[in-house]
Amino acid sequence: MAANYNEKPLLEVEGLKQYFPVSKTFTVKAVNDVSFKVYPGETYGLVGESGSGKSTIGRSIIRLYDPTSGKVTFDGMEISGKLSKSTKDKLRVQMQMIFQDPMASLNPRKKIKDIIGEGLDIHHSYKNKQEREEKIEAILAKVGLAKEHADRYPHQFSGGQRQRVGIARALIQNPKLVIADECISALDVSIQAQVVNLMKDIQEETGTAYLFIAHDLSMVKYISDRIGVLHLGHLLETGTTEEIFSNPIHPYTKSLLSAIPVPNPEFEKNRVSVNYDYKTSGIDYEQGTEHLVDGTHYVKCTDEEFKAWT
Amino acid sequence: MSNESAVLNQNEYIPTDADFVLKKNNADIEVDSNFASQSFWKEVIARFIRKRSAVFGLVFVLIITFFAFVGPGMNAYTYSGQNLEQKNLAPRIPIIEYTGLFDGHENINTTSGTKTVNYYFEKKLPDTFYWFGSDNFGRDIWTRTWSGAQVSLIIAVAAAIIDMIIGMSYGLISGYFGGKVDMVMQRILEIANGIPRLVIVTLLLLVFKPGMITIIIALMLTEWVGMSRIARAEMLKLKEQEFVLASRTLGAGSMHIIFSEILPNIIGPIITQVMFSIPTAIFTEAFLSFVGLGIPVPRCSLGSLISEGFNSFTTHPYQIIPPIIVMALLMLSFNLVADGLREALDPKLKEM
Amino acid sequence: MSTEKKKEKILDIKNLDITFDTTAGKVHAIRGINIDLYQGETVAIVGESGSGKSVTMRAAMGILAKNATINSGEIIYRYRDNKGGIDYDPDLDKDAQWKETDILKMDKAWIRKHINGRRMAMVFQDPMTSLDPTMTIGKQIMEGMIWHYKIDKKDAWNRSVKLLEEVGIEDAEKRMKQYPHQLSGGMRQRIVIAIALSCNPDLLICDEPTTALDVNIQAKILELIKKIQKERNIAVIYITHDLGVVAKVADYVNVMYAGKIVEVGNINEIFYDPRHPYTWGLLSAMPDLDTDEPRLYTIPGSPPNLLHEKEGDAFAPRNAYALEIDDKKEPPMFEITETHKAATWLLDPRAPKVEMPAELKARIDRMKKEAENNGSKL
Repeated sequence: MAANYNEKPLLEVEGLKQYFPVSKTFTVKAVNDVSFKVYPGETYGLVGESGSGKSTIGRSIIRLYDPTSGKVTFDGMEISGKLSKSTKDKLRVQMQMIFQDPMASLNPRKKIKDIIGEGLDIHHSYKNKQEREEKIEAILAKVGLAKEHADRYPHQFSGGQRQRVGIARALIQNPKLVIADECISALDVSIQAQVVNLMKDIQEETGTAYLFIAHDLSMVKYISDRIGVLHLGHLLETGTTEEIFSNPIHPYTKSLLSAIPVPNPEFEKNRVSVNYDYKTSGIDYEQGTEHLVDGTHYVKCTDEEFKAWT
Repeated sequence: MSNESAVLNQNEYIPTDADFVLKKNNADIEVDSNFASQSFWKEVIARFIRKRSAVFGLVFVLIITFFAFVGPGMNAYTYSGQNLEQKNLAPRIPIIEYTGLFDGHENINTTSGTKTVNYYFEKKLPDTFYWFGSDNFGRDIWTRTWSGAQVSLIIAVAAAIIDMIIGMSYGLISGYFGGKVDMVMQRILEIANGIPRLVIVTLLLLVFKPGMITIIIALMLTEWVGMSRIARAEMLKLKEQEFVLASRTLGAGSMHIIFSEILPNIIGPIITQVMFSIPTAIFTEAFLSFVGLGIPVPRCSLGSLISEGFNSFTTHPYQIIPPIIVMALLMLSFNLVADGLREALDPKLKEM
Repeated sequence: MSTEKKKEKILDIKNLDITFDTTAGKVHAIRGINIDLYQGETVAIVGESGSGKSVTMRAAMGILAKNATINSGEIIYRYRDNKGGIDYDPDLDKDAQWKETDILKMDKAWIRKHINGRRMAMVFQDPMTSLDPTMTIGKQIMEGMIWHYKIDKKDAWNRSVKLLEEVGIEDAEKRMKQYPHQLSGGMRQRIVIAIALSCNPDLLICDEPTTALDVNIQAKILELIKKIQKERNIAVIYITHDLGVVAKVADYVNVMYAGKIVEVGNINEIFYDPRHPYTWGLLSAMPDLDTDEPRLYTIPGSPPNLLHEKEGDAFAPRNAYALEIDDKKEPPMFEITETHKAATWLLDPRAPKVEMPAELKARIDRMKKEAENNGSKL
């Protein structure tokens, strides 16, 4: 993998907040002051349980939502405020998304080739029909689907095949960053590995960076260079995969790590997962500030907590 | 647990040693060429055909439509041709008349009691046949019934299609943009929906002269509301779907998303709604004609025929029967077809 | 699993074969499978979606869709004739009379009255859709008890509260009056388990009980089911695609592919000595935390479409170790040990010697060592 940490970060998220007002008196604070960086060619894994705000972060970055506050810089341009036409055009080509649900993420009434080619059509990035066809064929081959699949409809495919179509759609315009929003969690374990292998291969070939959002730590470990652990809208701990897995600091990270299923019955039978309950843990995420552990490993906590944990 | 699942029989292949070598297929194994061969519309048709009442409805719709366009030309009479000499003749059909049915006789109630007469003989018209009888002005009821059905069908289908286009666009736009746009559009819709249909129609007829176009406009002005509600509800359901979000992240514009991403997905409920609104339109048109706000004479529609027949209902009941049967069948059949389509397009029951 | 008591067989599926009549044609979903199950045991059925694992269990529950045809087979369910009580009674088996019926021959009403809920209960994948959003939690738990055992409402209420406490829900009284949407996903699944347990079943079928849940809650739910199973001597069938879940809970494993069981064995045999290439693929597709290979070995392609039946071994097109014979003839079940069987021609004496993928071999060796260090014998 050609992650390049000497270059400028490709994506820089600083103090991102995303609130959703539900009523006049109640606001859901889905994302709370989250900062991280993604470098060109690397894979950054965002992990957290459902409701932790991980998908919201992805959608705020790609501007399906308008961020409440914070600054997002992508490839040298600010994309968190009002978007100019040229910024928007560039953003819609250079940043792509792979979605969670292989059933819902493909338009059931469109042929595979039109789903994959939609980005090309919108941005008129081909000279003639033949070039379009060629591009679609090439990307289909890349994701391991047969040429004949181009004229079929999504419901004729299995979950794993559809997810590959989703990947093809995201990759056909050679984006610099792909946000993979829980793109494997709806698949069977055997197919998950297939999709992850495919994503890795493509990254090696094209140098695309991934923001890999998931709740399954074992796959995240396998694909990511760096990881961020998210809980209740707060980024609790971030660092390289090595740092997080060999030296977890935050009790929440520890509990997550202890729950990863392992295909080893003797180990599984004797294992007891570590409990973690935010309400009774006595930790207040709002009070926490970033503390450097070492290298690129940061934990969000108060000074006292930091002392107690390390 | 029983061990041998394969029961040997004579035809079974007996493996040889040559079969026990590794296949050299490691290259093509990487390309996945699986797919299911079902097509969506094939399945819809299969489900539709399985529902007998829907097929029955479709057959009747086709038969009535066929006669509506061919029927008026099947004999020498025209819908407006009057022959006062031959008024109020009872139905008489060649060949069948020998069975005693449809031989042109009718029962007339007079002060001295009921008597059976056959005007065809009394007026010495041995070679004249009015299949459904003739009316007060000596016009052929067969021709008039089918040409009336034709007018009703044209009005209903035109109104339904225009409704679909207006209502659908309105609902889709309102639902997609949401927020303030939706608020304003929904209030307008509520006001439009609040005015009684009869008021609108009466006012319209004061301004325009009565006729097919006027009735179509009148129907259109009132019917699109239902269509737009359905389109809006479907839109609200679909617009947060991931394939729509995907289009947005690819940079698609609003109109592209509404009309080429979402619209094809709601075509099912829309078609169903159109099919349901056709019988409503037929009925509304008949109702307007019946109260005298419909098609001007000498043209006729099913409604105006029923209205005319109603006037002579006590003396010549056969005059009202054909248009009523045709209308009832038409409405019933359209409803059955719509019902079948709804189920075929939106299967709630999974097959496995 | 060292109970002194004699274990009774409670479910015996023999040579079950089911087709579905769909608009596109006949789908041969289940192609002759055999499963048996004893009291207090846990059997896992593992396979990709579409392999027929859920259909099998639906057949066992008597809730197959209308377009299903059962071509052959029996589902023998054995139960105590004198079992009447709603409470679990540890001495129940002492002088029990065991009776057996073939579920496939009984009508739906009989199954509903005697089997569903009362003796066999199901936990579904998605707790949100398996709970009725318009009914309070309490009502949903009490429903079955009142229907099956005709107990009065107050009794049912008290029992429900106790059950909720048993499945680890705090403030049980308060929860009884709440609706499903007011609870979290993990809590809802606990409620579903409580409902399943409410009528004191002998057999619990869990259809992907944790796929919709977060990993840390997943572990807790599995631990809960295990605990209850031990306390009540219930047999449990897990339907899942996740071998991590299987490793945690199962005693026996059936690996299913395209409507057939391709490998069966006890848990250690499947995890430490897998023989079928499909099982190899399933096992190595799961990264464990010590995996450092740049690529995972995976099963290529996608599950077959059962509309088009294939001659020979259904897995052959995706099998990197396929033999020529796989295209011509379906492999029979080869016996490796008394409990361990696999349907692959690789086990035929004439077949070339094929080793499992090296990555998997290395991992299994490592896991074995780890387990031995912990003092377990394999």
